[in-house]
Amino acid sequence: MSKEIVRYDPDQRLSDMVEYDGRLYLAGQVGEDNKADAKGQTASILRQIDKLLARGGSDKSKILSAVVYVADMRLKPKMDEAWMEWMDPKSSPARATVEARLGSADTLVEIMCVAAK
Amino acid sequence: MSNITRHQSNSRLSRAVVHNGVVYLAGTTADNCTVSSKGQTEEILGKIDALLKLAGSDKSRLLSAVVYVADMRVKPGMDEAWMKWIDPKNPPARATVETRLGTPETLVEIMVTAAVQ
Repeated sequence: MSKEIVRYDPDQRLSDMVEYDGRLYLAGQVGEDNKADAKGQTASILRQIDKLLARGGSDKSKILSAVVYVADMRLKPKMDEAWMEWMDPKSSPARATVEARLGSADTLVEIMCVAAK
Repeated sequence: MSNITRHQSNSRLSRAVVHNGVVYLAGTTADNCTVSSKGQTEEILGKIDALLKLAGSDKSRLLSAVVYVADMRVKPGMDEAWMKWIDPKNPPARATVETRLGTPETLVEIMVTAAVQ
């Protein structure tokens, strides 16, 4: 028996989210306004993640794991501020934060996560 | 409990691990790192095709991918090979970040998950 794979907003390169066997795999999300600081970019990313999860019939309390990429480790406290304001404190995911250079010089944060439905 | 199947294992890692209908591939790099990011990506994608086949999957069933590039300036070359290879109806959720890789000549490393048929 083959389970269905559902792809959300696929383009020629990637899908924003892929659903398979009760799990949602989200593409790396970046903020909509690269002029915002790390906290503002993170808040924007988390709103996008909320929207994607809602489309997939899930929500932030069901995130299994997340990898946070920050352009500079010194930005982590600002990212964490937005993260902790947003996160359901009773259902935080397995998370790692690493420093990596991102798509453009002013992209400060990118988050990739997997959630249960 | 469902089984875990490991392919091409050594004492350090397995190239592919299958569990519960999902295959997890190790980070894959090119053997020939004297070529451009496009050439390295082409070789990597060929290796991924072979590993997915070994695990009973194929590129039309990709769920997620993380692409590591040694320098964001080599992303366009990587993307050229990627877009030529990808099943246009079935792109995975993807993120691309810049990090240092195994050797200075290694320009691209790709890690994917896919549904198994």
